[in-house]
Formats: sequence, structure tokens, C-alpha cells
Amino acid sequence: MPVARGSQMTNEQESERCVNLPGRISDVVKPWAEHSPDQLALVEDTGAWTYRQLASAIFNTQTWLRTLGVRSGDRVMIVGENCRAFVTILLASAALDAWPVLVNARLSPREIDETRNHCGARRVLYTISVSPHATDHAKRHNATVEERDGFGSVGIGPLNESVQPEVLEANIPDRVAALIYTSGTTGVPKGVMLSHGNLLFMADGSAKIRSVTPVDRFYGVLPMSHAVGLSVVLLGSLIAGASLYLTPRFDPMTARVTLEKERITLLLGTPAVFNQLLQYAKLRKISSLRFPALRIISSSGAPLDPATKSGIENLFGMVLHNGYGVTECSPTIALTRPEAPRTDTSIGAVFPGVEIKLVGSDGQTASAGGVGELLVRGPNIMRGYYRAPEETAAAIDAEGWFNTRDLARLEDGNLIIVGRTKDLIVHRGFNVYPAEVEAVLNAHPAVVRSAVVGRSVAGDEEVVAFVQPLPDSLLTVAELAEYAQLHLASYKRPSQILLVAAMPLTPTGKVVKAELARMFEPAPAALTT
Amino acid sequence: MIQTMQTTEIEHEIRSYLVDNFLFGRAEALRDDASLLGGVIDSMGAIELVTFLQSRFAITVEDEEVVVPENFASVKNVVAFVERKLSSKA
Repeated sequence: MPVARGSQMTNEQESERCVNLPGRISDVVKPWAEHSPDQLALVEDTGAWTYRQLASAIFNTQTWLRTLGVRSGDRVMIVGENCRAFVTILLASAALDAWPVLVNARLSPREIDETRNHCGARRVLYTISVSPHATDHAKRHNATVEERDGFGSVGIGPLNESVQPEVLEANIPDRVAALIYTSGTTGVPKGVMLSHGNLLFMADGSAKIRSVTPVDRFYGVLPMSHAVGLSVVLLGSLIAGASLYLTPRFDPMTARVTLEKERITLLLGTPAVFNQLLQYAKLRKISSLRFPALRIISSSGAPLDPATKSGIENLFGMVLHNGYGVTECSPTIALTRPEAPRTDTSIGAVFPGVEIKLVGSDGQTASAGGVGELLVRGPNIMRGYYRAPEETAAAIDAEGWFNTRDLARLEDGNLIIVGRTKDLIVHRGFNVYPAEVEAVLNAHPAVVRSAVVGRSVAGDEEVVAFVQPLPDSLLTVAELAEYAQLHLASYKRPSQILLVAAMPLTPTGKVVKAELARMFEPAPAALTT
Repeated sequence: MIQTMQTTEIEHEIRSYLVDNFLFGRAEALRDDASLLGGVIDSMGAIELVTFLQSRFAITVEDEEVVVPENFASVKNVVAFVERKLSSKA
């Protein structure tokens, strides 16, 4: 079956589900603030807020943002890591119809500045209490620091008076609720515009699939500056009235203590997170971890390998679920269902209300069971790339199909990803686009050209860079590694750099990466950074 | 005997371990008050440090003790933590 619709519901029931959703993402808090005001909404090391306190904080923050000069249609860039300040500024901006631009504080100065310049941020705010990286960016941008109740210290960047607000869509659910930048294959970051409707469709559907209720306690370790952390974890928790335990970064020991002490019921992580738990258990000589309250563990963000899945299932004594998506799809396209666990690493059935089709290299729909490029259509598809109409048109066709550029096949209604048509590397659950890393390395004055490829290692992909220096150059691997450190976020930096005298090229001068990787396999250990 | 180790010896052992394993031998990069977790070492490094402390000083370190900020915030804190552990054994 090469075309599928992920739902047990009828089209009418799906349409009704969309109509019944709140208008703005900030509205998910209101019903719980009214009916269960004392229920815990957000919990972190420094304190906790009930739904009433969160609603109040969102209201007060809207006033604060207005005094900072933020208008409807303005882009408000939030540089941070998971914490109450990040969530509140995000929801308050969305309530004002400003566009929250969500940025992981671990990005390099170059990456942060490119995003700030591209989106035309009216203000940049930094959650400096929980993030040394955000503190560094705030200092670099001459931000002032303000102490706010429940937020701790927040950095406030200068007002950009030259930017104009965007014109708002008439229909509230169609308005942009989050702008998330993802580096494109050209190395130029693209701003993915996700609407209130996109995010709420995903939050509501995810919560329903997992039967999330107010008794649930989510472990919030996936970055809320990324799509899964935003729609599935943050909004998926708040829309169901559950409690979310915010964690700025993953640490297996803290996770184990929190899962046990706080009786966490849902843990969503990347394969890298689950691999760290396996390494932790190995080093601590733990053969079994049992958390009686925990009812769902699920992986997404990168391909899950069988060894990680079986290792975690043995350690936890429960099924490790799997899911798949891309930022442009808010992000989930498919996930395994609690009632239909898989023993393989299939990404499960298509998300309810989402349509997919598989298209062969001839442009025709793939035959039953055949492999094809995965196209997606539904209420989860982004509004487009910000200020990039050509890129948007290349990604979404006239009938509304978004091309993931991933290759997949369907088996008994479950999707299996078999490869990628784009050469994305997923390292520690983060997307690394070779073109972006190459652009940085090529900018070094002693570099002729570079080629970046992914290399599969247990449960992960490593970034490997081949670099051709200028003839007679004294360039060293250490020097290049230091250069990469200055210009790239840590997860984008090559774990191995190989200096080569020449590269295999096509007649048009493009590096033949497959041949390059073969020529240097296995890589000389002496050149490992 | 481990139980009679002086603070300077404990500190020397811990510093050497951190410098050799996480700072590529650059001793000057490790200040007494440098933030350890999330700074000098990452989350997996913290587990490796705990494994080292347990084997080198014959002590037991629980996860709950590692996540308490004052125990592992800096080299000085770790040294004080190990001293407390050793004195409670003595």
C-alpha cells in the first residue's frame, strides 16, 4: 500500500478534532488554570509552578514584553535551554501574536548571529540562569540582565527599531507560533514557520496516542527549541494537564534519580540519550533499572538501531517505542503505538490525520511494499520557510505534499525508513548538514576544499571531515579542530578530520563523497581529533 | 593507607585524573573553583569520574550524592566530598 492515511478515525472525526483545538498554543494552559489551578504544570530544580501560576506568569510576561517594545508580528528570539523562563517567554510571545524564534543556546556565535539577522529579531532574550552558553551569547550581544520572579536572570538584548512586524493571518490557527531554524543542504539556515494549528494538532494527537492525563509526569529533556521538545513534550504535556519536569541537559545520574523520586511516567529521548543510559548502566555495573511509575519510553530524532532498542528494553524491562519526523512536519510523521509495540526498529504507523505517499525515482507512486521517497500531507505541514519562497515551493508541491527526501517502505501499515536522499548526518540526535560544516572549513585561508560525511557508529553517526589544504601549507588537524570549535556548535564539529592531498572530483568539480569515504576506510587513527 | 591520605594527596590524585582524562594534560586549565559538571566534564565524564573515585579511594558514591551540586561543583568540592567519605569510613 504505497499511499496511507494514519488514522483509525474518519476524515470528519479528524476535521472535528482540529476544529476543537484551542486557537493559540498559549491557550492550552487556561482550562487547567481554571479547573485544576493547583495541579503542577512546570517543575525544575529552582522551583515549580502550578497551572494557575503558569497562567499568571504568561499574563505578566505579555505585559513585560510589551514594555520591551514587542508588537504583534515581531520576531522575539529566545536563546536558551529548557526552563520556566524559556517556556513562559515562548507562550507569552505567542499569546501576543509575536513570533517566538526558538534557538538552542549551544549554537555557535556565528549560527546565533545568522539566525538573528535572518529573522530580524525585535528583541533577543537569553535564559541565562540555566545556561552558561546563553550567558556567553548575552554578554557578546551587550544584553542587560533582569531578575524576574520564577525566571531567575534573563538577558535582554537591545531593541531593534529598524525591523517591521509581519502582517498576521486572519485565521488565528494559521498564524506563526514558532520559528525554528534548520540548516539546509546549501549550508544556509532556513526558518521553519510552524503555526498554532500545526503545533496544537501535533500536541493533541501525541497526547491522545499516549493517553496522557493530569496524573502523568513528563521528563522534559528534549530541547524545547526543537520541534519534538516543543510540540510533543511541552505542548503535549500542557494540553493534557500533566506535569512537566524541565531539564536543561541530559545527565544519566540525574535522570535516574528524577525518574525514581518524582515517579516520572513518560520519558521521550533521542537514541543518544538512551545510549548514554546504557553506558551509565555499564559503568555503574547496573543490570536492571526498574521505575514502577514509568509507562512509556520512546525514541525519536535519529534512527534507532536494534542494539540500543534491545539493550534499553533489557535494562528497563519495558518496550522502547520509536518515532520519526522532521521539523517541517511539526515534527511527527509516524510512531509506534503503545497498544502495538514493535520488536524491530520500524517507526510505526502514520500519525493520525496525516497522509503519506511513497514516490519512486520515476516519479510514479511506488508499488506495494516498494521503496520510494516519502511525501507527507496534513495539518502538521509547516506554513513555509521564512523569507524563502523558492525553498518553500521546492519543498511543498501545489497539492500540499511535503517531500521529506527520505526513502521509506510500508510493511503491514508500518513505515520503515531505508535511507536518506539528502545527505543529512544525525549526530547525538541533532541534524548536521554537511554543506554547513564544509562552508565553515572552506572559509579557513589554508583550505582548498572539504567534504563532510557521516560514519555510523553504535547508535549514532559521527561527523567526519576530509580537508584538502593548500599545497605547502603547514595546516594541522589540531588547528582545524580549533577553528571548527570557534565557528560550529559542538554537535556539528567533526569527530575526525583527515587531511588529504587531493579529492576525487566529478567533471563539474564536485567531490565524489562515496569514493572518498571508501579510499580512506578505515581512517588512520593518528589523525583522529 | 587510603584512610590517612592528606588533603593534598587526594587533591593531587583527583586533579591528575581530570587533567589527564579531560583536559589533554593542560593542568593550567583546571582552576580550583572551575565548574566541573557541564564545564570541565560532561555527563558521561561525571560517571567516569565517579567510577575512578570509587576504585581509587575504595568508597561508594551514590547517584543521589553526585546530583547534589555542592558535592561535585568544583575540584575543591569533590576533594571535600571524598574526605568526608573517607573520614566516615575511618
